Parts: sequence; C-alpha cells; structure tokens
Amino acid sequence: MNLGMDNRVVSITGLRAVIIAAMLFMVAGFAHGEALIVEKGIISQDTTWSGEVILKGDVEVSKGVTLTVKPGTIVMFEKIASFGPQKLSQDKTHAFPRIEIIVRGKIIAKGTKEQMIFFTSISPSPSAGDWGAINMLDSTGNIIEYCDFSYAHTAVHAHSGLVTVRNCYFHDNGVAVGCKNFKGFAVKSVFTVENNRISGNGMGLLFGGGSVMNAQHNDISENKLFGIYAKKGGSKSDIKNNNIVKNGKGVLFWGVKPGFKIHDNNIHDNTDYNLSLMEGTEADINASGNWWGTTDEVAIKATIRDKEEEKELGSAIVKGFAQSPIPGAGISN
Amino acid sequence: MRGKFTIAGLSALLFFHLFASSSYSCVGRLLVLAVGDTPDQVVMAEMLSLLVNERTGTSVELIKPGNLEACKEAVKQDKAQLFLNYVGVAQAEIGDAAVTGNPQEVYNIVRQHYLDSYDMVWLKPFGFNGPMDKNNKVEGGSSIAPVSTSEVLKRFPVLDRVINKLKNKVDDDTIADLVKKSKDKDVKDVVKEFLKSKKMI
Repeated sequence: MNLGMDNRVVSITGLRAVIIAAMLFMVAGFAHGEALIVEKGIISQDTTWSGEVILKGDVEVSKGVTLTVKPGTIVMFEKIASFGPQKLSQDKTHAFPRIEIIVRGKIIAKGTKEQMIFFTSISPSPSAGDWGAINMLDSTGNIIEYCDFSYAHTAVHAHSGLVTVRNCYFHDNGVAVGCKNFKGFAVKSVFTVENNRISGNGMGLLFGGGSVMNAQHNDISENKLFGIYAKKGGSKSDIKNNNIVKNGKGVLFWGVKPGFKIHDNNIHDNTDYNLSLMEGTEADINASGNWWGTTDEVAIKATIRDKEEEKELGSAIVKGFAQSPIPGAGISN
Repeated sequence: MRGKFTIAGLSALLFFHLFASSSYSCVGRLLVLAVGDTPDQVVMAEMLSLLVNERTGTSVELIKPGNLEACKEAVKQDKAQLFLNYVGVAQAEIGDAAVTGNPQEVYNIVRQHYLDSYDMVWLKPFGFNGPMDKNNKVEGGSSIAPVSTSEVLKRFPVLDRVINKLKNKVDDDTIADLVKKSKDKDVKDVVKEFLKSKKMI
C-alpha cells in the first residue's frame, strides 16, 4: 500500500512499516492546557482519548488497532489547508481535503446521554467542511453512539465499512453520513443508523455503490439539499420509521433498482419534493406505507417527481399510503 | 455551538468546493460551463447549471473567460466542458461554405464543422435567437445552443440527454422575460421558477 505523506510516497511494508509508524506515532502525551494535542500521524496501538483533544493533522488508526473515545470527550479539529502538509494522503479517491480520522482498524466512540462526545471545529467562526470526516476504510466493528458532530465535510463516512451510528446529533455538516464500497476493499459497507437527529446539515444520508443503509427511527429534518440520497448500488437498503421533513428534498433516488425499501416513514413538508427520481432512475420505487402529510393522493403525487413528470423515469408507488402519521416514527428514546 | 452557521450560502459552495471537485466525492462530479458576457448567456448558463445539478447530481461551476472565442478555447483546453454558442457566430467562422437561407441547414453545417475541426458537439438549440446586447436587444441574431466535446459527453453520459430537454423550451419572448425578471431578482431564483413551472426540476 502506498501512503502519500509530506510529498513523499512511503511504501509501508513489514518491519519498515512498524518503524515508520512508530516515527509517525505522534499522539503527543504532552499537555497544551488541559487538551491533548494530536499531531499528524498513525496510531499503531490501541489508544483511548478523553477530555479535550485537538487534532492538528490527519490521524490514521492502523489495521487491527482500536481507537476508543470516552464519554464527554471533545474532539476539536483545526482547519488546515486543503490537501496541505497536515494531510497524510493526497489520494483524493479516499481522502477528504481537511483533517480526518482515517480508520482502517476500528473506532469505538460511545458517549452517554448525559456525557455526549463532541466532534467539531476548533475555529471561532466555524463552517461546514472545516474538517473532513471520521473516514472508515475497509473497516469493521465501528460503533458511534451519543456523539455530536458539527462542521465536518462528511461527519461519518466509509468506503467499505461496517458501522453503527446511534443516538447521535448531526448538525452544520456538509453531509451527516455517507458511504459506499470501493473496489479492492474486502469489506462491504453496511451502516446501521438509528435514533439520530440529523438536522441543519447541507445533506443528510448519502449512500450507494453497493453499500447497505439501514436507517430507522431518525429525525431527518431541515437539511438544505436533501434528507436522504440513495444512489445506484444502494438498492438493498431499508429506510423505515424515520421522520423526513422540511428538507430541501426529502428523498432522492438515482439509479436505484427494485428491492429498495422505504416504508413506515413520515415524509412531508420537504421544500421541493418529498421524493424525487433523478435522471437514470428507470425502475419503479415502492414507496407504499409511508405517511405523506395528507390522504389526498393527488396532493401526495404533487410532491413526488417521477414518471408523471418525465416519461423516462420510473414511478414512485405510493398506493397503500398511511392514513395518518406513523406512530413511533422518529427518535424512539 | 460556537458561531453562526450560514446555511444560506451552503448549497452552492458545498457542491462546488466540498463535494464536486474530486473523486472522493460521494455526490457527483464537477462540470465547468464557460459563459459569455451577454444577458441571455448568463440566464441560460444558470438554467443549465440548475437543470444539470438537479437532474444528475453533477455540480456545475460557471466561469467567465471572456468573449465566445475565449469560451471555446476554454473548452478546447478542457478548462471548461461546455459553452454556449450562436449558430451565426460559428457560421461566420466558416465563411461562404455555410451561406444558406435555411436555419436548420446552417445549424447542420456548423455542427459538422465543429465536429470535424474541434471534435466538438453542438447540442439542440434552446429556441431563441441571440446574442442580446446590453440593452437586451437582439439584432441579426441566430439560435443559441450548448457546445461540448465528444470526450466530455463520454465522461458525462447523460449530459446531452438532460441538456437537450431544453430544446425549444425558451423562445425569444421567454428569454426576454427571464432577463427582465433577473434584474429585480436573483437569476438563480428566476430560472428555478421557470424550470419548476415547466416541470423540468
């Protein structure tokens, strides 16, 4: 594997990898006030973060290694130059422009209701994209619970990862959660996303490329562009018992094939469309069993863009729609 | 949390700067559209940008390299992937060979010339004549159409299909109306209203 680093390309193999990893293991133990300062580097042994943590460059959790983040931890990301010297990799296929926690091993960030974990920008005037992502690459066993994410590019992201995201709050990010698979990685992405508040981001959930998104009991609201975007290859996903309201668009589909499940959700009051099929979505989408904010089928169809607007598109099937709001949809605890 | 999140400026910036420019993107790719400096070009560029983005997820960045020749040069060099040209302007490049009284025939000749000379593809005309001058008047105008390259159309396989949906959707009166409205209102809002009224987005 080649890892672009400080304008050099270092071949990480065998003993040499261990030596280089040790050299780069700059999770400094020195204190800066009360915060742990973490420089750019590779975490090559199990590590626990607690208290305040300030990231000054990319951090990569090696294969076989676990990064544990304790309840109440505040992880703050500096806003670095896009693909600048604080990046571990210039590989734009897998890397985000700014600081990310690259997880090839595993991350366990389990906060509690009383002591959430924060992942945010350190900037006094933060904005979406100040930091990159928790970015899982060919990674399994990741658990993210009771975390608050803000000002990321894509807060939780995977190219081939098994991830559970539960009881979190995503706001002010570019994308809350995104995943797909990548050729060459053995792991196939499966995301379990439940009981999260995903509100006030540019975009909510974004998935495709052979990944599976099982999203349930989330409140997905007021995201600028869309609540959910299901792309080609995301057809095995199951979206149920969510509130998807007041987003730019509720649910977008591109190239999704039969088998995609979207049912028992409350989908209404999205600005442009509650549901929209994009160019190249030729298959019908079975969207029955959802509540659309009304029992007037004509009114429901008016909030859906499909074959009725453009003959090349598939149809969104809403027959069998709920007659009243789905009880218990949205965050359930 | 600290600071005030300015959601208003998010959508465009997000697409252009966070998601579109490289392949890490999970949203889509970036298409650069070179825009001339006439009012009709500005309106149609915004319309194309919105249509392509809404229907394909591909982000469209607008650049203004200068006159039409500069736009064409930008596409030749792949600094842009698309520009808007007038049949009459292209006809003038060819000279006598394209002299004919039949607009469709002129379009066909120009189209073939661009394909042979630059490997550029003329898509379907929008339906109005331009360019407009600074007073929004058209004198001796000709039809306007998007122009790209064969290579770009291979890279963006549904692009021509999406753009060609605008074929004959904007006539002279319509473009005049859109330009007029965009003086009092954000042009992005004007074209959005138009596309929605046509059920195109």
